[in-house]
Amino acid sequence: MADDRELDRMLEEELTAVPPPGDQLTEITPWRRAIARLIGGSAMVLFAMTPLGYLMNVAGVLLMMLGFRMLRRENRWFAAGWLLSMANMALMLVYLAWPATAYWTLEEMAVVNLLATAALLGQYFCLWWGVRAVRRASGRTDQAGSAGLLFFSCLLGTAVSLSGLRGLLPGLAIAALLIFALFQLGKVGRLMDGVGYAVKMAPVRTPEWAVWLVWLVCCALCVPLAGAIGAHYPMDWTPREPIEHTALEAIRTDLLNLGMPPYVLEDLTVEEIRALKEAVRMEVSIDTQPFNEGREFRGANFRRTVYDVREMLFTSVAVEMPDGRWRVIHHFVWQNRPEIRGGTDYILLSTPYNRNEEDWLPVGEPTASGRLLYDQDGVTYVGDFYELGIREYLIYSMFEDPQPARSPYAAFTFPKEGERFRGYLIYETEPLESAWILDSWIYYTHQDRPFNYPFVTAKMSYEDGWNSRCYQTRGDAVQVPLDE
Amino acid sequence: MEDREIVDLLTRGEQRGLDELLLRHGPMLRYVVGGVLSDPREREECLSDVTLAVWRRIGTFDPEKGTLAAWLTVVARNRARNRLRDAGRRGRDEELSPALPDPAPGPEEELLRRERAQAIRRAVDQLGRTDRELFHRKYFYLQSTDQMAAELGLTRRGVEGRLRRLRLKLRKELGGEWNG
Repeated sequence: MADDRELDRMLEEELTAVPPPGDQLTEITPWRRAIARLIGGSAMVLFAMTPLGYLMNVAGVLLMMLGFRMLRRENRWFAAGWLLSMANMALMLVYLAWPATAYWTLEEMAVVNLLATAALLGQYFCLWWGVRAVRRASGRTDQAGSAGLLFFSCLLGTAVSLSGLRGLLPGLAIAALLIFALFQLGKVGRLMDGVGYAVKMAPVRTPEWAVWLVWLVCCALCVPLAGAIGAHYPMDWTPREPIEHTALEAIRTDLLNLGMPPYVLEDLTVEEIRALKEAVRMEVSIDTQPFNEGREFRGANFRRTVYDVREMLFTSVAVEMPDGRWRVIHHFVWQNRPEIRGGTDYILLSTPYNRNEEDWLPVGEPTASGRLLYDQDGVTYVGDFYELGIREYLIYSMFEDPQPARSPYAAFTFPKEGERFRGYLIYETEPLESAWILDSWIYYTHQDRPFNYPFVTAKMSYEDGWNSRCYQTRGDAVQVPLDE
Repeated sequence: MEDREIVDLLTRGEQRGLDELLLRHGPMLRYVVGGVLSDPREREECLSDVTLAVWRRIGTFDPEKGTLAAWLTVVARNRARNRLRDAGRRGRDEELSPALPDPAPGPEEELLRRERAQAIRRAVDQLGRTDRELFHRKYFYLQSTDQMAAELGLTRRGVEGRLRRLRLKLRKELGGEWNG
């Protein structure tokens, strides 16, 4: 300790005659580090519209917080900027994590973006007025033109972006405004030359390296954590109640005799089996479909994809009832455990009545009913679909105007653990006199690639075409000529 | 007004030069003096000393050797250090000129001083950028640990740790008499 004091004294003495070089003297200022962080952070956030956008945004918002943190005690504008920068960091975490769940929507993310933009503009405003206040306190003119121009150019860019204007001209205008804003950023540091020495730096309790570490860890973990919690639908599974078969024995025998596969019959509820009493006719379609990439097979002068494994067993059963109505059951079974489990799946039915309203009618509401099942440790669990509804869309044709259509759909999640994941959808339809064929399709969409961020549900992928490379859709149909 | 014009005014003995100098470089002088002297009255008196010293010795400023800001920093630092040392010793009449060498030492002492200065420069050149800044803040600007911590974005403990490591590096580089 005494040695340290002696060393300190000797060095202080010697440096009287050995001052630092001139350029190093001007580096040591109270404000330079803070302003460098604000400028660097601003540049990163402004340039976030690049392939490195996420990383630059993550680093940029933190740099701005660190810059304002150092200046927060100087005046209320810098203090307000610090609070806004922390709000921006919180919004950043929401921006990263929320799209990792199954619940985000474009509208919600637009609100988050708007709030983050407002927070950023607020910080630029606080930087402008904070610099003005520092200059005023030092007896200089309180003009801070560069900082003000930075704020206004970003405000204008935001207005152009929000106006919804699209096209080359608005795009060029925004790019020009951003470049202009960056030039202004470079001048902000010079506004503090001479006056920045009066700025009081605020002490910190947490060193910057620790702040960086915690921030980067939070950003890195929030996405997988949000995905683990929310990248699926919440489902409610209960053990299946044993069915009393005695009363249904006659109906079951009739259905089996008509050709219904036993594994389909085993999964139906008592009410669904009873509803098939006195069935007149049945048509069954069984098909297996792959949900994998397959392998390439090369012949002498051809090549095709061969699927050694076909995970999905589709069984479509069309049952004609005595009153002429038809009950259609679309049943599906994962014969092999899917590689990607615990995500979202989606089914769309293409029914006779949604393709041909002139020949077919839905019985009751055009929705479907059904349930899901899986086995684990010898117990069969049942659950309802997370969403069962009607999708309304337009069918486009070269030969006529787009036609409105309504199709039943279901969205759901199977658990990660378990076996023999399966389910079915049932609907009823009534043929009119002109009907000559019953044609019913099931389309099953399933995620077959692991990286899915922003998280797109199977429903979004099928209905809106989002991130379609993450999903595959397979289907099957049952077709019954009516004049037989 | 540019530094060159300020120097011209001061060289001609015009009061306006001093006003412009204080407007342009006053905050920097306050910053340097404020890092050394904590008492507000001492600071103001020191600033007056600095202003007077600049007024009297502007002729010793050589623009070929460095900027006006650098020269002013040295003047302010040495004045503030003198004042601090005088306050501790109470009464010793000693002054350090920022530009003129101490007339008392003989040739041998002068040679030793130059060698020590070169050794320090060499040792400082070996330091990384952050350590170099810390070195100048501590030994030239005589800043307190709290001020260094606030301006570097570190905790007080962080600064103390870095200073400990810095001293070890310097002892190793300088060797000999510096090792105590």
